[in-house]
Amino acid sequence: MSINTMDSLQQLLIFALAASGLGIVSSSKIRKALNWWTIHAVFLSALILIEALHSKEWETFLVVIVSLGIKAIFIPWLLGNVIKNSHTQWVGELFLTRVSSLVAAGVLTLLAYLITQPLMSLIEPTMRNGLAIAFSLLFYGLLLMIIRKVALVQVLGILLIDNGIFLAGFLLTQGMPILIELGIFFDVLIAALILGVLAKRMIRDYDSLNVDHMNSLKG
Amino acid sequence: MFIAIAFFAAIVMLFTRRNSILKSLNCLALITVGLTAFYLVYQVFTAGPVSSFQGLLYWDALSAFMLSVIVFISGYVILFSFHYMEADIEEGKVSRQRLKWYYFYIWLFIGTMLLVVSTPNLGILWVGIEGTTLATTLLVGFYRQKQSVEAAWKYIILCTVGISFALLGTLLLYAASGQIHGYSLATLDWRVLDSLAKNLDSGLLKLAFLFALVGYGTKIGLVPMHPWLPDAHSQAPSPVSAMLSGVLLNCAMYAVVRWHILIRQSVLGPEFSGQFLVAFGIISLGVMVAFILLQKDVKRLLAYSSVEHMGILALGFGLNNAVAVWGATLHLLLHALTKANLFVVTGRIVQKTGTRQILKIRGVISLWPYTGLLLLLGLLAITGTPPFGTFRSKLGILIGVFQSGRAVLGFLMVLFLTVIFAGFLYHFSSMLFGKPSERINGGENIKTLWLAIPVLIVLAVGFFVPEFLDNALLQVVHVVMGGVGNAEPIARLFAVPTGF
Amino acid sequence: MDFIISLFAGATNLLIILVLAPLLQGLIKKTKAYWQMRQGPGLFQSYRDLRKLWTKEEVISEHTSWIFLRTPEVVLASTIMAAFVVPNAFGWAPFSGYGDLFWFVASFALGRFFIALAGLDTAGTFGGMGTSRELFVSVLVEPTFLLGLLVLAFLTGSTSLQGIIWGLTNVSIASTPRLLAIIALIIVTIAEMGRIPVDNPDTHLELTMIHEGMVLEYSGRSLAFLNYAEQIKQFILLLLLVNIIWPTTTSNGFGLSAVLIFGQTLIKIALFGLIFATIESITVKVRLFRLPNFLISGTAAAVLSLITFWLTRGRI
Repeated sequence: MSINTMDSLQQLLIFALAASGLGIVSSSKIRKALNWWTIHAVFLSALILIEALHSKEWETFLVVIVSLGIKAIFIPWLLGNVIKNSHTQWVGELFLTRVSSLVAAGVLTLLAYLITQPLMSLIEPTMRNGLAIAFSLLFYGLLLMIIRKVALVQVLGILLIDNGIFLAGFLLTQGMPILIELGIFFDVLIAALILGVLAKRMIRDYDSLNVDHMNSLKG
Repeated sequence: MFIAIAFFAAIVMLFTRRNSILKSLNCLALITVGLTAFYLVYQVFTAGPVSSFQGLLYWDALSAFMLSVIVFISGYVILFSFHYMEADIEEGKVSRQRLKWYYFYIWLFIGTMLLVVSTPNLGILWVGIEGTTLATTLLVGFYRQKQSVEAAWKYIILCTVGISFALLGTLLLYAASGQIHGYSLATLDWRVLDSLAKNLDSGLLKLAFLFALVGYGTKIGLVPMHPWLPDAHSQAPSPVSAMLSGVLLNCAMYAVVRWHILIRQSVLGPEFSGQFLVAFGIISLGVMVAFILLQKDVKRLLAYSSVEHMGILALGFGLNNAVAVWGATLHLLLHALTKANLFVVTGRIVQKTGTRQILKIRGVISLWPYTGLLLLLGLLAITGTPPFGTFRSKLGILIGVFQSGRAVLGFLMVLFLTVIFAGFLYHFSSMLFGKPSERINGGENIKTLWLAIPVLIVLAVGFFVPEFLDNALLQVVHVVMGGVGNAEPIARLFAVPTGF
Repeated sequence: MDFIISLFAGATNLLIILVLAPLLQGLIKKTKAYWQMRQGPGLFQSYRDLRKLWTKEEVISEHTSWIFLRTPEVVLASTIMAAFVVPNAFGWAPFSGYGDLFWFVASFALGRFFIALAGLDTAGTFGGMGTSRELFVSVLVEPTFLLGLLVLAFLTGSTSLQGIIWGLTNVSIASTPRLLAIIALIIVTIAEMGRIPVDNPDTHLELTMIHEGMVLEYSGRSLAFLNYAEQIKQFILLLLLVNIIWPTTTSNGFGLSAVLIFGQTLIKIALFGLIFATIESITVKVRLFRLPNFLISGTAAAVLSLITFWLTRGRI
């Protein structure tokens, strides 16, 4: 593969990441959102894989394998399991419906482009809008946390935030040092596990994944 | 070494079911961790910073100070847990099979906290802090009730999201320093960063610090990122609440202070990061006044009080004044001791009365005189009444505030503290005195009094600051202030007591 | 000398388009028959049909005006006009110059304008219905078509189709704007060819027909003109699409390699014909009111390709 093709492929993957992030935001069924997440994780791993092929460092290959294993295989499996247990496919659209949340996400994307202007000088020119998209992913995650009331979608929101930060790190600094990177992956893995356990308990105790049912603690 | 011991202990806990074996294992682990940690702390304070594993672990005065706080409180809490969990099992709140899991999580928690204060690397620091969140989530939700699930959920969601921002901050710092020093693990090492600080890009550094402050601030529970804190602290088993309030918050505060030290050295100067800490501190203090006055749940009351004290700490560390930092450091220790003690004591009371409602708890002192005495001591200590040590530390911060010429800030702080004092007095006096409910049987063993050890230490520090503690505090101040200014004489002058 | 060569090459190119267009139609019909498990007409049936229509007598309504009479010639002429600027297998177009992508789109628009008028001219119900539907579709298709080609023009720095094809050899296929523009153009091509899911060229079902509605009143030689024009349009659209997705360019267009490249392009076009026929066989035509969703996704792809182009270049 020529350098030119690799660059274009990376750009394409970055846009695909944004698109699949929007896919999660606009999904009206949990299962669909989870599928989008899987695609998203695969794209992310592919992006790092290209970089790994480029730099030929074993650390990067390791990150590819770990990210594929945790984000694209283990987490979808775990959350899919929880979905099977719950009786609903509803994503908990309380404030914004599909279309209006897409509009909100679009606005956030523009905002991301605005706030990353000062950081642009740090990145090689071909990857510039990657940073903005990393921040938009972060915003999409936060948006999901606010506008969706079902626990699993909020988990996807957290994971999206994490991916955004990961992407930003990847573009800004070619990834964190491997030790820290692995630590972060491990934390994500454990967090997903614990959230899965809690979600199952939620189904048992409340018979629902709607976080609005949990309102007994106040003041 | 002791990190490995803690994690190892956690795993060993899973292999046994017998309570007696669990107890002895815990004691064994505590003794080994305590001895190794004590040896290390002694070395640091007498012979300077220690590093091991090719610099992967590193302790200076500040980390050693935190280390001793963590180990002491953990030991105290675990010893109390024996009795507390036993009572819970008898009541049927927890099944006996799950006891080992309790100790497993506790030791994981301790291990991650030890990791936090042992690493010189801001990246690994982040991993450790996130690790503490994960280790404690299932402890918060340990009682299998609706409310505990709710509290645990809020806790993990808010803290994970918040701490993601700290990761972003770390990342930006890495981007800034990597430009100069190259992208490697060492670039996030604060020993390296301190030497680079003057050359770092100021715009990136500002952004990075703000993200880190918001992120770790969530974990500290600074207003407005605090809503998870009262839920988590009130729903967790009481020993865990004691650990959360006593040491976990301090660990997060430690992370912020590390960042603060770094930013102080940079071109942004000592005031930039300090002003944010002071602002967050005074806001937390002010907002908590209302929450504390109107509180009905005793554990939530204590949780809000933790937020308040974290505000005081942030304020103290944020000021560019040696006496204030000295006070904040001392206060960190004393608050940990007092709060752990208070949670333990209220945990006992809640267990005995079966309610957390302040209005339903009456006449503690006539029912259980020793517990009542403990509660009274705790009340006086937490509000900073003389002659308790907390008075000395708060006074230190106040002196710092006035010395740096912020009279309005000082006035507000005194005002808030006074009102909070009144609120505490009101709530606690109704619990301590008053006519007890007839259905509850009183009476207890004098052995309970061993629980008073932390609060007695606080009391003792109020009368005199021992030479080694004073020494340690001055070394910590030196680390935080970055060795600038002639702060030492002032602090020493203030530290040597003439008696109150 | 160069001029003569290019003129010769251009004339050959045009000739090839004119000759092979009905064959492509036959191939598509054969493929569809295969998917429907039928024998289907032979590959050369389209030629026979054209010959048959050519010799047949015309029936013309007495209420029609000259527009109805002249429309077949205008449509055929405008389609051939469009064929002039489409580059051939070697990347050369018979005519090329600044802005000929507008020429290309405008030629189609001219033909469409006349055919729409002719549909109204007969004052029949189906003609009017077909016209209204055709214009409804074209409102969504034409901007997309132009925008998609314009992004490619931005990408390659040339507004002639020939320049675009030559420029595209230096642009990676994975480049996001190009990929999105290709998606937009594929959707446009489907709509322009009048194929499922936009229109169905094989039926005269009054509820669904669009193009067939307008030409319903035609017969004999005029119908042969219109059908032939439609086949040419289909061929040049696919030729353009093939060139955009997978451009082959060469400067010395003689010898064995030239034959190979030429054959390659023909195979590619046939392949696209097969793919479109297959798509047509395995999907259903969408309802007219659902059509905007489909076409708008093409428009969205074109707009996004413009945006991504702007984002990746930092300027337009």
